[in-house]
Amino acid sequence: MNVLTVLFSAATFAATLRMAVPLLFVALGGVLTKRAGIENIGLEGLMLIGCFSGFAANYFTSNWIVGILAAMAVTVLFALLFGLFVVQIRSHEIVAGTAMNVMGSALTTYLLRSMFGVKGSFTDERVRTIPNISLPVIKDIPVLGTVLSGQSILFWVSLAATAIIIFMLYRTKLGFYIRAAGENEKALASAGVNVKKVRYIALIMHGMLIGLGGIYLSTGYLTQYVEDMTAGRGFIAMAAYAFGMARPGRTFFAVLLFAFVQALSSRLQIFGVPSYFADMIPYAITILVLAVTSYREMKRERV
Amino acid sequence: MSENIYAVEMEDICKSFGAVRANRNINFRVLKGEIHAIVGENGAGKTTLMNILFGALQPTSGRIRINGQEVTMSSPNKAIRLGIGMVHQHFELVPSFTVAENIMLGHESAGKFGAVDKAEIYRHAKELAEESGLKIDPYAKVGTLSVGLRQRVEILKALSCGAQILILDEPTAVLTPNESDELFEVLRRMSAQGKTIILITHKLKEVMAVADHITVLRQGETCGTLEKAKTNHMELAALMMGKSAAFSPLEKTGTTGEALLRVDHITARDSSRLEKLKNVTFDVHAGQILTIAGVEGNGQTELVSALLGFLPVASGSITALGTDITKLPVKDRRNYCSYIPEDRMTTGLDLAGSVHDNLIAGLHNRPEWRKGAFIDYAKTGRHVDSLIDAYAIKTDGSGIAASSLSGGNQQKIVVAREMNFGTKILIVSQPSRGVDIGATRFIHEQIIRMRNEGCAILLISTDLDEVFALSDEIKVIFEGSIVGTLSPDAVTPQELGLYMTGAKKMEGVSGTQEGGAA
Amino acid sequence: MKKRLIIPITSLLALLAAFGIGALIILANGDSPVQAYGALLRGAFGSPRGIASTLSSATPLIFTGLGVAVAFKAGMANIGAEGQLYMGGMAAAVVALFVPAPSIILIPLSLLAAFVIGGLYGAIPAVLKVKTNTNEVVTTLMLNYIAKSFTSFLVNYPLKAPGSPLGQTNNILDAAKLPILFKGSRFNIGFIVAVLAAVAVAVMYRRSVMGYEMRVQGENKLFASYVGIDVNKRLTQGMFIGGGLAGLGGAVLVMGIQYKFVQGISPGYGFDGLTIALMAAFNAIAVIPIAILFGALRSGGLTMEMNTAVPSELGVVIQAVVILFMAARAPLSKKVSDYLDYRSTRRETGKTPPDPLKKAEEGGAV
Repeated sequence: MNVLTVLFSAATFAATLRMAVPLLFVALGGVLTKRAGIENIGLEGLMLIGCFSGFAANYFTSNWIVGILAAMAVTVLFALLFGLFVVQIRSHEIVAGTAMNVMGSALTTYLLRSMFGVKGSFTDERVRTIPNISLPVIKDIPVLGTVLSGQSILFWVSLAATAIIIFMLYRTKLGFYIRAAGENEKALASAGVNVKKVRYIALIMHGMLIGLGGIYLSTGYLTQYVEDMTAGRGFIAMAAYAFGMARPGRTFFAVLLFAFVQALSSRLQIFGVPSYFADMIPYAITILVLAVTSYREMKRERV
Repeated sequence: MSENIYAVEMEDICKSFGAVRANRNINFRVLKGEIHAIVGENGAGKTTLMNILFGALQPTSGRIRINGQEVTMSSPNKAIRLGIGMVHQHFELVPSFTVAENIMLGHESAGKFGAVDKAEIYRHAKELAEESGLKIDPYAKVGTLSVGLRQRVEILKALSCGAQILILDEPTAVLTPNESDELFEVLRRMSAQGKTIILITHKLKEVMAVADHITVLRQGETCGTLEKAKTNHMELAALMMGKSAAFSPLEKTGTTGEALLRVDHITARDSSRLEKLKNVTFDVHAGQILTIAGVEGNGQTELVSALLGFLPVASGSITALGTDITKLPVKDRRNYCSYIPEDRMTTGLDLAGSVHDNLIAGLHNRPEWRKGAFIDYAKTGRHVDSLIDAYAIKTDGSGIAASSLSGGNQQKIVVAREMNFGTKILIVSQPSRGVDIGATRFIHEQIIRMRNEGCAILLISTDLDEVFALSDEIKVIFEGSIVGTLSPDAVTPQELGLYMTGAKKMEGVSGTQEGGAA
Repeated sequence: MKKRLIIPITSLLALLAAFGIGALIILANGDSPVQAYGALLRGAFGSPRGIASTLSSATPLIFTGLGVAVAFKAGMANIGAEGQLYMGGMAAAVVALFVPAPSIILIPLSLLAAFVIGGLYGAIPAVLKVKTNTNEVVTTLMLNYIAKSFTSFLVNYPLKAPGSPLGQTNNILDAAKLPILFKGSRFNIGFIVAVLAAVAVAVMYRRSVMGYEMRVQGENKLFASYVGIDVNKRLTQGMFIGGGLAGLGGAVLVMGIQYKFVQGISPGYGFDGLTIALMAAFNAIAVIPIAILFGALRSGGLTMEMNTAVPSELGVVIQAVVILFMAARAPLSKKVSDYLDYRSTRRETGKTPPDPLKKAEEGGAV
């Protein structure tokens, strides 16, 4: 009884939303490139770059907005570097993605030490936390208030981003081109549209979103930078969009599900239940879902 | 319409790829509003010429005039602006988009927040479909459409860009006969509306059915433009193939012996449970070339798959050298049957692998070529060297990748391997497809040599000339059934054509009726 | 043969370029690249001790490099070497912790356990691919994290060393420790096993029926099935062997370096294996020198850090740049090679090959 009330409390749901924010940004970023025909397995590395660069900019300016903008800008630069190799040179995207992961981890650790002379984790008074939004009326409603009020600005931004991306992908020209680039780039090219340009635009938005996901970790959720603090979130985001078949709506729910599992597992730790199995769940169910859908597709193609 | 209004004039077009001259001084003119066919064998330079016209390739030299104006076709976009549209053999469509969305891709008008005006898209697509008489549901997802309908979307796409000159590359290759007829109907109507249509094909029947003029290409050169009304099949075929194609089969020596391959009433279904082979029965004897003649897509692929063990047979049996092989796996069947596939570059070769590895494939796992878990490379090496010698395969040693050999030498690898597989049964699919005349002759001679050495040869061919040049006996396959057994000496090409198109059947053949129920 | 030189030359260029970029980063940090690289080189190769430490760092890398190379040759894009390493390492640790036996039995047994468990773990994506056509890139990647979480659970709960603040097992039995080859270092016979494994892989691919079939089906499945090769079986075997080799990488970490299984035991050796295999163009023997180079970056990095102000992570940054250039190498060298083909080959079929230099521009028209 006691266990259940703790587990399914408003605090758990609030934690779910907090954990969902970075995942949602990064997964949406993955959705965009995936739909444009690029699989970037380097989400983790890019996220880390955003996480660090935004934190550093925030430190030097003591301004959280500058921090957010810097995270987005730097991550976009690295996403474009990835694009240079994948779109322009047509490198193996898996290898280039791996390079992004290794680079993200190495570069941030290296810079943490050479810029701040710190190993492990770093925090400073100069760094400003991204403010939370307290909702005037809702905050007094018992459960809803705990869940929704007091979430970071970026929480609301992530919801808006989801809506914008759904609209963009299915209603606008750019969205049509992105989807066409992913499904049949020849069709798009023969319609006189520059496929590379479309992919670069997708990569820019990809970088912006991942930068937002990264900065939320270091100055939204916590105000501290920890080496490799993304801790696999980039891969969970990848699992989420794979689970969501790269559809923004489905990916949104996959993110909520995964975040809920995480929130639940951190609650369960209070009762001494190890979190490791919960950590595996996103990956395991993604494999399962992929296997089932691939199997169905295979059957359908045979018919 | 005046005789001298040309929509397209191409003069002295030359195109070289390295040492290969794909187009040599080609002259080609198309009247406004006509249907003009370009025919020629594979590799005759048809597609190259059309890619030049469409701006996808730049000619080495030569001039292009569109509606009398000299132009430089610098890119497909330029061609589109000049009113040229091309329907490729492989469709360039987005499966998850609707018909209208595909048609309008790249031309959407945007409203608020860059949102696409959907109503406008569908209205435009509907209008276009009505104007051109190409019936299609603009709301249907392209991924759910049949190939014929997808082709329609491609044509509509070209029309929506304002195409007045439409190039179709082998449009019927992927269509059923009914769909082809419908397509021709559409083309005729479009031509009546004043559109100019250029049709690339190698099917003479279609040419005669639909074209006004016909230009024949052979080995990169124009062999002349003919008026449909003043020509016939025979003349076209002679032009297409030239003198060198007049086959001179080697004399038959030796006699026909016992049946080595017996196919007894086999029936097989594909994965969608459609019956693709109905009660197929034939024997192939030692020293005999038995040809399965037929129009493509009448069960030939399934027959080969069933013989080699890729497609399980629902009933009936296959016997090779007296052994029932109906249930054997592919690996074991290959001890009985050699196979030269139609698609030699992908099914017949591992291009990334070495010449050696390609030549020993299939032998590598036989006990006599192994030493325990290892391949006896000393022995296979000698074998490979002797094959390279015997077939004059031009290669820089046996260790280099097959992909670095020329196309002709790659073909030889497949032939050399399969003809020295140590089997008495040889299955050959479309030996002359996709190769030049020299290579065709080479393969034909090898087939006849094998026959004369007492092998049983099953030839699958859609090419009438080849059928007549090689066969000792002809079985005609139509919709999965054998509808006729003929002797090449006792049948005319016209008669064979009637069997192949299903217009004529031998007495007592009821396979289609039976199968039709399934 | 000019074409044969493309791979070594471009690899070398990638390496030089990466060090060049590394030099720029050092300069930006206000240090001298000459000093830093000098220290790195001295640390890695300047003394017998340094060499021993380089080779011991290289040992797990040889295994993961081989594991990835074998899988790729069998046609599987195996990004799961990291997970296979964790599972193999854990299997070795369990045997090495609990089976009381003399070294002569315990060491081979532990290694075997690592190979089998790593292999079975590697076979999962192969089976999924064969049975359900699931893309192995995502599955191998996901399985990495499942393996990490699973082994973390084991070292924090059932196998946790009593009283340890960290997630780790007890020390393995002495009999299971890999004999040391150079006193005062942890350079052990694992290196020799790794070299032997590379030779075995090379022999398998060049001489055996299994290697032949694995290779051919990896290159062209359709062709392979027509010549009677059981494609699914060979593909799965390739992934099993690849996973097993990566698993051995975990075993040498446990039995030769850490002497226990520590949570998060690999700092990305599995991903390094991917780079190494690519640089080696999936050639088993070439994996060895390249793994040694990567080992040198790791072991020399520490010396560099001690003697200069440059953090040792620079080595990893350089690695990342190498990977990125490696990614570019394949398409660029393919263009070079296509161009060589295009110039030298006479096509007899009359099929006109598209100009390779033009082809690259396709899809980007206007």
